[in-house]
Amino acid sequence: MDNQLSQWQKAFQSSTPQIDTEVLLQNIRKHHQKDRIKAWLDLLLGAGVSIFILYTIIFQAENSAFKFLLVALSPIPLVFGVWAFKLSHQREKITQLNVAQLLRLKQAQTYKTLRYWRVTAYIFTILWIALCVYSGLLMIKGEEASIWIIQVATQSCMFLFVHIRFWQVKKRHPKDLAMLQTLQKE
Amino acid sequence: MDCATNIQSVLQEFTPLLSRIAASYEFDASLQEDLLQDISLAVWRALGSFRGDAKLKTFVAKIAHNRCIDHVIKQKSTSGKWVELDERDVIDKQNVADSIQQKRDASLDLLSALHKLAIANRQVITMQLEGFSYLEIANVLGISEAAVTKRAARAKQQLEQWL
Repeated sequence: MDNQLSQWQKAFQSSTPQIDTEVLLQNIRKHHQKDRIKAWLDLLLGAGVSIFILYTIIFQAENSAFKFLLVALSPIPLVFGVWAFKLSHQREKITQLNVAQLLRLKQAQTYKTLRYWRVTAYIFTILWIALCVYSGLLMIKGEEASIWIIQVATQSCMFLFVHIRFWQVKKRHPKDLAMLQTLQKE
Repeated sequence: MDCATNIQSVLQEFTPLLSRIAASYEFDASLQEDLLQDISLAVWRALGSFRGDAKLKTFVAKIAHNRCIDHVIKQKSTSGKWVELDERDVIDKQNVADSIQQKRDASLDLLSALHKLAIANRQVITMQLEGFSYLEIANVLGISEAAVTKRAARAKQQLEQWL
């Protein structure tokens, strides 16, 4: 190390912020415990809801259509719980990536996020149109359509939310990419 | 490896290093504290997977820089403002310019000068000042040694102009 760097090194070392290591350790122990509890809670709650649904199927469900619906829904909470549990472990692996790998991952994530909201917007649009057409047909046939109209009104709010969110993500995407590219460039 | 007891010894040894790394990315003291906590927590979680294939100091520094870059990205995303990352206004630029004009021979605070560097160059020079070799710096940043040499030279040149 040359003289200039040695001098800067001394100045750099002397600018070290004063940190109470014991307090830092206490704080991260609390956070660590909270995160572990949350991860297990997600998993157990998911399992609990799935078991409850199975109980409902066996002891409460009165007709086959209802049973079939519950059977289809029952694994969802458990799958979600397992996914949330695995995600918390995946986060640990991400923190061990070098800077270039992390930036590439972030870049891939921005594309994934955009794709996710684009696909969600398309699916919502198709479902919303189908719901409107179905409600419209019921009204034309003179059948009772009030429940379906309420559904249309409710789903319209979701439709708007999804499209606004997609628009926000799409608008931010080039800026996010530019920021990541700036961090990557030499 | 008993992570619970190891984290204590790791923090005792490397907290100054981690706090300097955090300070090189974040000027605001309260955000620095949060960032240091985030880094320390990440180090604790990662300790179990440390296999000794690199120095512990390098392993810890890699995680620290990883968390710091993540912090910078989140700060920029949540602020909603796009600011050129190599023009961070951590200190009033005009005051700095006046200061340089008036006191050409006086030295700027090193940390302030480091914050004026582009992040890519800042990462290299701060790791050099921590005593890491070019190979270790390349490993932490995921770039070639040639790129490290280039950024180190550029950073040194800029610091020499300002200090």
